Amino acid sequence: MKAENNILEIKNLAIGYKETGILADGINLTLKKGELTGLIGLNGIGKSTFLKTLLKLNNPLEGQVLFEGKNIKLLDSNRVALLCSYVSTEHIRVSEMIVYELVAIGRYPYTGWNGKLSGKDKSIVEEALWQVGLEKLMNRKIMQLSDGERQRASIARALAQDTPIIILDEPTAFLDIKNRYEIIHLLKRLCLEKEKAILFSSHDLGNLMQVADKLWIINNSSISEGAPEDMVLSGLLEEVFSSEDLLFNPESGIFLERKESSKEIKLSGEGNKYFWTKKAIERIGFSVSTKEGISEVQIVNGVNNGFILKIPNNENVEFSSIYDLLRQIKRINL
Amino acid sequence: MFFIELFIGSVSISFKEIFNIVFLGISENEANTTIIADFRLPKIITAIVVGIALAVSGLQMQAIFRNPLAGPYVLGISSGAGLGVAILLLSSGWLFNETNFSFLGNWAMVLAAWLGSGIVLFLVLLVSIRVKDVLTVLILGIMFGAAISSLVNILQFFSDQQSLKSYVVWTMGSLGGVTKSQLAVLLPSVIIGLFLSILSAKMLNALLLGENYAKSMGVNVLKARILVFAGASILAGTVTAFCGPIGFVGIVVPHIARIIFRTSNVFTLIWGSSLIGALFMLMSDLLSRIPGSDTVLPINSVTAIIGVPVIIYLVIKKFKFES
Repeated sequence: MKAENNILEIKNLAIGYKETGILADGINLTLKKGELTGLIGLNGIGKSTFLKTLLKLNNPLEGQVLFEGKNIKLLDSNRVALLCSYVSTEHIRVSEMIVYELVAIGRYPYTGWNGKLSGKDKSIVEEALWQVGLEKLMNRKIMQLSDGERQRASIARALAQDTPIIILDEPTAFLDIKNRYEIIHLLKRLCLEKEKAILFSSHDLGNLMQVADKLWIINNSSISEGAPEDMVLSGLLEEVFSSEDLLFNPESGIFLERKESSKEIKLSGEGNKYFWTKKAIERIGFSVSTKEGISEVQIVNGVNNGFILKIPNNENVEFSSIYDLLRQIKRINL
Repeated sequence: MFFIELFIGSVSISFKEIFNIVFLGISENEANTTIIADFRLPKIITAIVVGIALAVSGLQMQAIFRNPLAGPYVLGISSGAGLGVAILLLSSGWLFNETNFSFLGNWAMVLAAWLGSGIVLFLVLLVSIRVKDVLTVLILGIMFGAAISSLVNILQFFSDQQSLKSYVVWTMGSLGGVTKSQLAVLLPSVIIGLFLSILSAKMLNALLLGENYAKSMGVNVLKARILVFAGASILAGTVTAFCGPIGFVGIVVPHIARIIFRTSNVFTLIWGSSLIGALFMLMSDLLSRIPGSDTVLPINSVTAIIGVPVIIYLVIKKFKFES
């Protein structure tokens, strides 16, 4: 592993506030070029404080943050702005500002006293708009953008700042599933194509498991790092997120409610239809078994009424949808 | 607007004569020359300068506090100036006798107001160095203002009728009291204030996104605050010193500029607000003279009568837009 890939190193860092005390300490981590790193942890555990400390927006209580080997404490804010850009959780609300203007503000560290954009600045701004797919909306007022478009515009502003590191604080909060997926994959693409080191906090474990090169998990006043799969194997994800009511499933990377399922039902069939019927039956509190002599749901592929409910000593009933099937199961209270 | 203003006054002077006096400096009638050169022209220039200064300082306050209802006086500048004037008028009984007061009085009032707003500015700057959150600075500024106003009230309570009347007249604002020699001080001060605001415009553009974003792009927030507060205070403080507190111009004009120029760019808005501010003051001055009579309304009332409906319109429009 080459050391020059380490664009950011964190050594024995302690974060928090003098007034309220330490949130986490003994933090030793590295951020590498071309890698997407996800920061996870429960609400209020210090994710934003940690990110702000890396950006020199908060002071560390102890330890060092090194950009390319240089302590940020000794770098002035303009130098930090050339190394690291930021997308915060704050909504940007400026009436009359258009997307292009917002992205162009990202050129702040490069322009003169009057903020005039040079030809090079303009082409970088346009490139950033194109990267996030907003080139057609560049004259739109930012107050008229959807949440997803606004987040893209914020990311484009960070891209225009042209820094090797981008830090984002919950870029997928407030977004719908489609936009969440697209934003995270946009970040992944930027890491690969532009060799950037991107760090972002998120609660979206499902997407993180798919795309993150590395996870940083804040837990018990400390931060651990590793590939998402390492975190599953070491049991850390389960330790952080499982509770009395929730069970983390390492196989699928999703959470399930802990439920005692005493009632059993037999399910036969195959394919997609089988998979989703199984999920649905489990959702209403049954466990699926292969035992003989109990109630059974048979899945027939390729017909309209493909869900057949067979109850011993009763007539078979056919259903056309999972919804109707579940209603019947609930009604007769198997 | 400029020419209409020259034309209107209690003595009617022909257009041709005005033209000759302003552009050629010649006239057969000495009295008319005096009226134009020493009264009407300085007043018009004062109106323009006051409009520009108040509009730009209001724009800066709205930008740095990210609050559409901030104006040049939110930091307590006008109360500071008011305190200076009140102290002067109360103590004037000992310092001046009747004859030299009217002579020195005008300049003394200007200096007292300047000193008062300068001290408030200094306190606000001290606070803004210690306090991180800009909204806290805003609240402290308003509290400062309230405390100083109550001090002024106490002073008024103990002052005699003559001083009280002088003070009340001062609070109504006036463009007409500025002499040519005072204009020679007002003009350069406003130019310095404008220069500072242009210097801070790039930082204000970045600060529109919020302080964290601005810092992450390399903005030195403390430097920005000092530059903006100093610039805005010089602009508003000087105007208040010479003309008294003139309300609403600073709040309303930046909004009109935003609507007309359809931009949030502070550079553009400085020029836009200057233009509209100057027009706003000229129009207010015109309206302050009741047609066909020699009575002149207090300028402060006129700007309020024009300004308040605009603010109400803006608030209602914004409310509709967001709900």
